[in-house]
Parts: sequence; C-alpha cells; structure tokens
Amino acid sequence: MAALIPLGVVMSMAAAIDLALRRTDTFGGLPPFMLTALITTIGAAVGWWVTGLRWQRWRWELRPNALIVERGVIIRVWQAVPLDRIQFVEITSGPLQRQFGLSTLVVRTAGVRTPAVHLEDLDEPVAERLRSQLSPHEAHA
Amino acid sequence: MPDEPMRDDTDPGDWERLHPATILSLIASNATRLFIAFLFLLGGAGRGWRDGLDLIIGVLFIGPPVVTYMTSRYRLDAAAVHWQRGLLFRQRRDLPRNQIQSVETSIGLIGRLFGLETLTISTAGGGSSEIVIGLISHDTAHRLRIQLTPGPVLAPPPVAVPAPPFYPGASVDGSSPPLAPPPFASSAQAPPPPQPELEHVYAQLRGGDAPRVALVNLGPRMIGVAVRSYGLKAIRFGDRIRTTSGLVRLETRETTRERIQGLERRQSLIARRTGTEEIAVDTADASGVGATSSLLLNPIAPAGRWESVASDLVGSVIAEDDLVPVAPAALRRRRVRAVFQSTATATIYGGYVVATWLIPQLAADPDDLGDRRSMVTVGALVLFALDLLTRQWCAGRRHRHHRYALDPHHVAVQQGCVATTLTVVPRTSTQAVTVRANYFQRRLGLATVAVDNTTLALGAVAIVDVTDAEARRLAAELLSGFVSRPA
Repeated sequence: MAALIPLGVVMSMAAAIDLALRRTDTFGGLPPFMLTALITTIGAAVGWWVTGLRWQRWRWELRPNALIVERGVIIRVWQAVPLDRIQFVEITSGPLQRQFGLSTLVVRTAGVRTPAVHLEDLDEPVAERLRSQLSPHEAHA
Repeated sequence: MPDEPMRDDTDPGDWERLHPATILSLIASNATRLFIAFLFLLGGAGRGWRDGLDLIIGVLFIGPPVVTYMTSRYRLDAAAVHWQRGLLFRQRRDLPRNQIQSVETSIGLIGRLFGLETLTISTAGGGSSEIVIGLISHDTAHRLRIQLTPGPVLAPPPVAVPAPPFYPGASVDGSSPPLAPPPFASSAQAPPPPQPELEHVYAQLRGGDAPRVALVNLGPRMIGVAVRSYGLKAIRFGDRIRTTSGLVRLETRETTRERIQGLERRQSLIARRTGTEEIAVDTADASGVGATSSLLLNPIAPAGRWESVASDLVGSVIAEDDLVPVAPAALRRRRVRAVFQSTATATIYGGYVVATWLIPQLAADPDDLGDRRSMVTVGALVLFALDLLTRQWCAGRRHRHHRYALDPHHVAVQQGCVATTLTVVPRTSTQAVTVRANYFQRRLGLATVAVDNTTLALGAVAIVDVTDAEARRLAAELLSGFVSRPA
C-alpha cells in the first residue's frame, strides 16, 4: 500500500511537467500526457521488478540463540537479534495483507540503531508460531 | 490509577514539597514569558486595570509556574520514587529504584542565590521517563542523590570497610593514598550520610587547566568542553562514580559501575601531539542526547590512561596494541567513495550556481561573460580539486585510524579523520548484530559489522570494511556469548 504513494508522487510530478511543457509548446505534435504515461509505465515496471527481488532476498532463520534476518537488494543486510535481547514482539496486518492471509512480525529490541527487525508478509500461522517462540520468556529473564 | 493515589494525596506527611523559590526559577527559565507577563501587568497597572483583561493575561503567564510549584510533590519509598504535578492535567510518574540509570544535581543562578539545587533522576527510557525535582534544598538534594544512586543501598557501616576491588589489579592512579571524602554541604544542618572509602580520582582540574582543555579541543567543541570540565572532579568510591564540574551551572553526576554501558576515548590532533586524551563513560540514559549523556571523567588525561580506566570501569583487558586494522581493500573503497562524494557536491553546488547566477547573467547580457568565462571555469575547477583533495586526505586518515579489537567480553572500535574516537563497549550490552554490504563493498569482498547497543551516545559501534570471512567470523563470535533458549 505504502509503495503506491511514491508512484502517485512521481505520477503527479510527471503530469505537472507535462502540463508545463504543453503550455510552452515544446512537444507540439505529441498526444496529451504522453510523458506521464511513459514515466508511469517505466516506474511500475521497475517497481514490479524490485519488489520481486526484495521478496526473494528477504529471508529469516531461527537459531537456538538468535533470530537471523537477511534482506536487501543493493545493500545486503544480515541481522542477528539475540533471543535474550528481544523486548517484545508485535504482529501487524493491513487490509491487503488480511486479504491474502499474511501478517508482518515486528521484533523490538532496546537498541538505538536497530530498534526493530521486520519480517514482512509471513503466513499468519507462521507469524503466530514465531511470535510465541520469540516472545521473552519469564523463565529466561 | 484512580483508586490508589487518593490515599497518597490525603497523607501529606509522606509527600515532600519543593522550595517556594521554584516559582522564581520557573519564571526566570522562560525569559519570553517573564517579559510578556511584565508588559501586561505594567500596562494594566498604568491604566488602572480598567478592563481587567491585562491583569488576566498577565496572571495567565505567571500562573503556570505558581501552579507547578503548588502542585509538585515527590515521595521516596523502598521501591520507587513517586512524583506528581499539575492541577487540570495531573501528571504522575513512578520510577522504580532499580531502573534508575543516573542521578544528577545542578545549581542555576536562582539556586545559588537561595542555596538550592535541581535533582534529575534518569532512567533508560529517555526524556519522558525522567523526574526533575527542583528546587530543593542543597542538603535534601544531597541526601536524595546518595539514596537514589543505583547500586547496593549503603547501610551506615560502623567501621569504614573498603569495598573489595571489582576487577582485581585495577588501580588507576597507582598508589595514591585514599583522599578524604569530597566536601559537600555548605550549611551543615543534616550531617551527610557516611561515605565509603574514596578509591580513585580520575581527574581533579583547577581553573588554570581550562586554557589547556580549550587548546586541546581547539574547534567547535572548545567552549563546550572547557565549560563542562571547569573545575572537574571525577572520583570513584566503591562502585560509585561521581563527577562535579561547572562554571555558571554547577553539576554533580553520579552513577554506579554496573550501569556503565561503555567508555569513550577521544583524541584530537593537538591531544595526540601533546600526549593527552579525553576519557568519558556512558550510561544507558537516553535523555541527554549527545554530550550531556556521558560522564566526562577527564578531558586531559595522559595518553594511554584509557586502558586502565577501561579495565577499572568496564572490566576490559583490551590495550592499544590489540587494535587491528581493517582490510587493506577498504582504502580503495574510501578513495572511490570520496571521488563520488566530491562529484555529487560539485554537481549540486555547480547546478545551484548555474541556475541562480550564470543563467540570469547570460539572460541579462549574453556577451557580458565573454572575458570572465575562463576565470569562472578555473575557479570552479580549483574548488572541485580542493574538495576532492580534502576528502582524499580524510579517506587516508580514516582508513589509518579505523581499528578494532574483540576480547571475550568487549568490543573496541576506533575511528575518525582528524580527531579519533575509541569506543569500548561490553558485549553484554549488545542488542543486535548487523552485517551490511553495499554493491561496492561486495565487489571488493568487504562488509560492515555493526554492534547495536542501548546507548545513544555510543550509537552503533561499527567495524567498516573488514573482509567477508572476517565479518562472518566476527558476527559468529559476537553471537556466541548469548545462551540458547530451550525449544
């Protein structure tokens, strides 16, 4: 859902430039909103491709003492949160996610630079199982 | 909490009030408010309060401090510090005593006039979870500070028993004899509680040291550090660390050894030449972002002193020689990055100059620039070259200064271009380990290892550009200390 906002921004900027160009009559012969259509198409294609890569690269693994998350297309990130350091675990799911039976798991730590690790779009049962596994245990505090 | 506070409110014996001078201090702390109130009250009086509106507005401006004073109260019990304030919006805060990170007292101008102090009790939660009690009398503040400083509660010992050394063989000033407990109360109405034996003096600066401190920090930090460390006295007795300093505003900060999250050693160019270094420690208190959240122990310690202070306060055995450099390929990446940064800067500034100056100039008179064109080109090239050279110079220095060490219980990272900062963090405060590699790093087989902790001032301790294999080794090593959870 949030991915649509930048697309909207780009589209409106393209439309504005389009209008300005038409006023100055630079591309006299072109049909209206050609530039907008072009930019939107390219943007959507790139977005589709990057989303695919992002999904492919987003992996997680539960080790006995830590949760490992790997993600990133251009900047590859490997993160490890020791289970002892998890403050609390949160599950969120937006309307679109609920349609597909998905939810996002957010693991909160007390770190100042890595306050949370996100696992996006897990299957609901998987997220639930992880939540119970990751939640800080009383016996382990 | 609608049912519980009623009992507290009806029991005035428990709750303590602030000193009336708090009103003055609160008004003075907001000069704008004071000025506006003054204008309205004066204007109203001049007109004989004809419509009363000025009086109302004037009172509205000085009203809040009075209400704050009237409604503020605090209470201390075995488990927590309770504090409440407010008439319409009642605010109540209870800080469990075991969550307290540090206790700080400060004296402002009004405070000095009346012999009063402000006490700030901070937890790790940041600004919304600290309690500021003030103004209260010097003796009360002193007593509360002693009582609230985290750590084992001190029973008044019949005989002064020196605390056993926390980390054996960790004497900072060698064989200096134990000094007398620091002098406190000017008005000795309540005798100060018994003090454990003073063990270490990290710094004891006089006014005459201020120019030296300023010289070492020549640059933007100069004034700040010189004022913060004016008359600095940093001591440890038992597990408590206390610093006292200040020129206009006297500040006393106190914490315990177990709350220390890391140690910082900072060395400027002049410090390296004159053989000194700045040593500070940090707690997890997130309320003071940047300079104020760290306890400055000594701005002009002899170079190399950090090793013994680190072993004394955080138990590290890392020494200067243990620090190893990052991968040699890192220098290449820094050089390439510097070129990119210079080009980006030149594009942005160049574009700005072209858009705001060159285009209007040419639009006004296309021939005007004729003979000046070469001058403009040369000027732009010189600026670009200077920028590039500075960045390359810094890239080399940063590479040379970037060193790290890992011992079984600590991580140490040194970095910096002109001034270097060395950070020693206990591995127990690790919150997350991140290994990051962007496109260029991957091409050179490099990665960045970041160790996140709870202290804003220390931030993420990052080892930039080690080889892939070393990054994997470091990450595994950093995680190995954490216990597995039974399935």
